[in-house]
Amino acid sequence: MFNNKTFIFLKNMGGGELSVALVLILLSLFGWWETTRFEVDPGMVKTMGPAMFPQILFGGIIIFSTFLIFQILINKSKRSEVVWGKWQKAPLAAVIMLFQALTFEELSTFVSAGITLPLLLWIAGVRLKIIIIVTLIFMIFVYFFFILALRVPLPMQFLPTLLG
Amino acid sequence: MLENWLLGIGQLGQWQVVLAMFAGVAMGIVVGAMPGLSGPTGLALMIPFTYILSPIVAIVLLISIYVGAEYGGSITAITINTPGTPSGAITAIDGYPMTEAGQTGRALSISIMSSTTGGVFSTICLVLFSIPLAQFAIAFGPVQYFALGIFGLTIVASLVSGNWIKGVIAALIGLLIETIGAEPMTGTQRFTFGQPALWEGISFVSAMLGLFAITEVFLIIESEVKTRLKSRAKFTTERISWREFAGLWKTLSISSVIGTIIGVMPGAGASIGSIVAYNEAKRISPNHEKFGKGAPEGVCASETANNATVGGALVPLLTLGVPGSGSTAILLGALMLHNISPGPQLFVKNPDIVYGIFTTLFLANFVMLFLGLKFIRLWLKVVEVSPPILAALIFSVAFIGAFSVGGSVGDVVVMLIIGVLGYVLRKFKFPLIPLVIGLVLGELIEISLRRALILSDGSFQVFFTDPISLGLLIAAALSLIYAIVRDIRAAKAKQKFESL
Repeated sequence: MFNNKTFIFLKNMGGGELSVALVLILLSLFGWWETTRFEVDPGMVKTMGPAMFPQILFGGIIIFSTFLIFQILINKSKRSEVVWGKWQKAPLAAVIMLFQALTFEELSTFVSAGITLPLLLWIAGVRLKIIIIVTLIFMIFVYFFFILALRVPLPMQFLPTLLG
Repeated sequence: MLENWLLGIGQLGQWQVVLAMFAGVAMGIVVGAMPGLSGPTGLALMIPFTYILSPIVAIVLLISIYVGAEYGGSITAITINTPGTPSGAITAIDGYPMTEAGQTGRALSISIMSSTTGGVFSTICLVLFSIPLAQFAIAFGPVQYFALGIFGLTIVASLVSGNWIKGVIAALIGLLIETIGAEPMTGTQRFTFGQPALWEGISFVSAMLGLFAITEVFLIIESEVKTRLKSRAKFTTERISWREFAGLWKTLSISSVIGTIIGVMPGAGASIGSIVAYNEAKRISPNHEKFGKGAPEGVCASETANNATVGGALVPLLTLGVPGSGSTAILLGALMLHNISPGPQLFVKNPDIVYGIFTTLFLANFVMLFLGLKFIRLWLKVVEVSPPILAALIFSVAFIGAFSVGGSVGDVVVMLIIGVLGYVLRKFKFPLIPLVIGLVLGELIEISLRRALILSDGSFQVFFTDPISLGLLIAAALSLIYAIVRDIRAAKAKQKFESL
């Protein structure tokens, strides 16, 4: 159905921005549908209920995203203005961050940060020696500043027992 | 009046407040100086840890960071031609040539002395104008507040971005994020999808950390900048004398006025203040041919104006509860976390806080002068931290910050999701400031809209029959028309350039 020419056309028209505008329209339509399921208190006029404000906003996003599509098509941008660096690094960093969030309570602050901080530094291209030094200094800083001084209740799990 | 000043000054008599002021200004200088970091990032990272502080200590800390960050951007701009903040780019035009000519010390001292002058002048204006404005705004009801919210948001969305459509979409996304959770009037759950972590809405701290800290981490990691920043120019400690500095009085006065006025305007901010003041200083200077080649007036104009925007930006924030920039939006959120609601009522209910803020601004500028002049070598050392290490540390501190507020991993996950959203939006050149302001003003706009409609039996006419509301809505429409005309002209100019 779509040949290469179609994709080249989309890319030449600022494909990234077009995709974002289309995604915003689709998400707004889904959001609008979701608002129709909100409960309305008896006695409250439905048009002034909890769905009213989000519906105005979704309507606004649909209208302005359509404007954005027209703007891209009218301007006939030769190429997208988006500049991607080493793009794989950002999703990889996001996965590492999510790993820390999901294991933080089970493994304790020090173990999970002890895994994720070096990994983040590694994908950012830092040398091994520096990774070890930065991680150790940060752990000490977390213990003395956040746990002892600020008394932030960070998960410690088995560490207090281990350290006596 | 005198009683209120005594109350405000009395608040600052504790040692914790003095420590918070010094620490805040120092932190602000560091985050302002580090390219890639900014005042809003520093403020966002510190908010979670202000929970354990008393409200006045927390406010002093955050305002001091804000003051210090506006100056910090000039340090790297002057010494290594790498501005730490957007307004620092204007300082670099004359600051770096001064460094190359062996006048680093003179450029840095002009920068700090001008920043202090601009900051103190704008604080005086804040004191003079905010009190009558607050008295005027005290009669505002839901109709006026709705129009005010729309006015603030529209101006920011249209001015802050090069593309007004993207600015408006960003503002709408911010308002939508604010609707997640229990609805403010009836408690109906909206967009929570059965997730208990969302029942009370998106945590403001998580949202700010996601938008300013996590987004920045992604951008630094992706950019693969590994080199440490180091000045190759010879560092000199020779300072400008106070007598020589006084000779710049004309530039100082004009730039202070320009910076303060631009600071009051939502969306304009420090960089526009610096550009306008620089151009004006160049226009009036008898040595205008020296601009761009190391003119002290150039550094003076830019630095005076960018710090003068601080006091100006606090006028609408304190009197109306409407922020006009990323930093003031974060300050508004932080004040609300401490149960302090900026707006005209603040002047009646919490004069101690208002006058405490005025006094803090005065003193923080002098603390900045002291730290800026005495520890310049230290600031230059601190900014040598390599960006990837900085990114990993920012993430780790943001992670602890997001968790520490509610003790919930849900808040951390929300921070990461919003960080990814912010990263995608920034990559596609959607401005984040309208989103942040939408997020902060969302509840005020929604509640005001619905209350006004209930009072008027559902008629939208009420917004057009009230003169204040009508005036604000017309101003909002004019700002959009201005942005549309500006974008059409820019597109035509671009097409003309490409056809050549």
